[in-house]
Amino acid sequence: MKKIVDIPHLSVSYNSRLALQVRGLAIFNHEILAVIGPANSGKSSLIRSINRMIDLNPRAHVEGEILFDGANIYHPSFDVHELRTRIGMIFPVPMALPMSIFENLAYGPRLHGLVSIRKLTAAVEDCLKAVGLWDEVKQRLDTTALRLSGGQQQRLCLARALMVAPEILLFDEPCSGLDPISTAKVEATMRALAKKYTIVLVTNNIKQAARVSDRVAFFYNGELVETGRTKDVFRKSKDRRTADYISGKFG
Amino acid sequence: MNARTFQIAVKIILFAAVSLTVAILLYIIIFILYHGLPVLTLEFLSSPIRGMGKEGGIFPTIVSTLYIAIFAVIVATPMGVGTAIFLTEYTQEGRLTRVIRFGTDCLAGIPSIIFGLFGFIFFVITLRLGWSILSGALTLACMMLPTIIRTSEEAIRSVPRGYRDVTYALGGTKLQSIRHIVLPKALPGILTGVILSMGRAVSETAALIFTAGMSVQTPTSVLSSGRSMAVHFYTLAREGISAPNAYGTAAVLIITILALNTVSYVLMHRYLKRYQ
Repeated sequence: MKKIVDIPHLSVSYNSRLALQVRGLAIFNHEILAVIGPANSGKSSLIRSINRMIDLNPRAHVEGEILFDGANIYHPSFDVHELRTRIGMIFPVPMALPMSIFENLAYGPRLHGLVSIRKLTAAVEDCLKAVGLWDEVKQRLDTTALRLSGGQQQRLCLARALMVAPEILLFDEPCSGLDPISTAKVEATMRALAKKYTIVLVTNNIKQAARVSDRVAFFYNGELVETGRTKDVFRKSKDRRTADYISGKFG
Repeated sequence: MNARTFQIAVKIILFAAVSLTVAILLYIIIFILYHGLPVLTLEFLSSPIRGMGKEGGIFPTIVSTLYIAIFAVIVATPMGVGTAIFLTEYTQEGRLTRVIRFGTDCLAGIPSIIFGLFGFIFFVITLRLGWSILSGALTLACMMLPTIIRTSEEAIRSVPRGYRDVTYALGGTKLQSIRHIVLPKALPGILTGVILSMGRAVSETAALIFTAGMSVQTPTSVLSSGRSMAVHFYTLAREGISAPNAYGTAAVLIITILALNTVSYVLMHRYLKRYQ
């Protein structure tokens, strides 16, 4: 399988306190990589480094390189806006914007200058179908997105991310505030999307990682402890810390 | 005293405070309107000042007031909102922002007569704008800045952090996030500040006597002198020219401010409904 992202070495520190150190982590095309680990293990720092959302935190300092399609995204000439268009992100709290469902979805393409209502309408339908929300909202695209349920809002945000045609989707604990049924819907959507996109899923829910992911990366205290195929890691992990974590001894 | 009677006592005290506040407010408004409304005719509103205000109407002062207030808002709003955007979106909290904020707070505490003096020396004399609508409006703009900056800053800061991240995560720029999300979302708060300060501009006296002058003519350009309603009222009352006309002017002033607040409130409400 083809590597779409390669992280030969990367370290992230906040106010010169080291929070994450990675040596050699790859993300393959069309896989779902689950990033697991206890709090403060550096999971969020990792995915926020991949689309450089971490740049927005003035206390964060990133060293090393991340190769995306072979190009170092931390090279000064790399266009960060293009990067974030190609690598979408879903936040822990559903961030539906205070506008209509249609406008929420059209927001991304409009940022990039697409104004044709015909094209937008077609894309909105496609993306809402891709996240399984179309049938639930097709009658009320022009009503506010804020009245949708939490799970619907999260899928709306996912559809919005799809609107700018990304290659990779980063999920930052996307189900942390959702009930089990909404969670199941989001997970099913992720599985379906993996056919077209590469997905990185940060989750605190070990069972979720086991259910959806192809591979897992376990982080502990800012260090990448172990990566491997989900089946292998859950059946027999190489490192004792991983085994302890996924069996619920801590974390 | 047991807890129950204590509760009742507190309720009575609070209720008394509220009643007193409302009563004083209503008394002022009713008092002014009672004395002013009889003078208020269409003719009073539309005729020029005659005999230094003893006779005739207040048409020139209405024009001057609107002229000055609108001009001041046009000058102060972009500067104030721009400063607020800079303070909230483009800088880290640090020495610079603290100095700017301290400066605006000091500005807010300066008596208006000092602004008048400054406007007189700087706009009227140094910049040779003379006693004019323009000098008055610029002086008022300086006075309005702190309010506009502070309220805009609050409004912009209260827009959730996550809304900005949505724009960035879709590949948008900071400017796009401000333009499409932050400002629309903060607009009601910003407008409240602008309206508040506009109300103050409409009713300002001290700063205008020195800068916009006292001409009783209807201003024909931004460089003509003109007296605002508040200045006119002040002159009529202070120099004992005509008490009825003074009350008439005061009534128009109060009604103008009420109308301004009501219209902006309605507009804002409609906007909020559309946006949520």
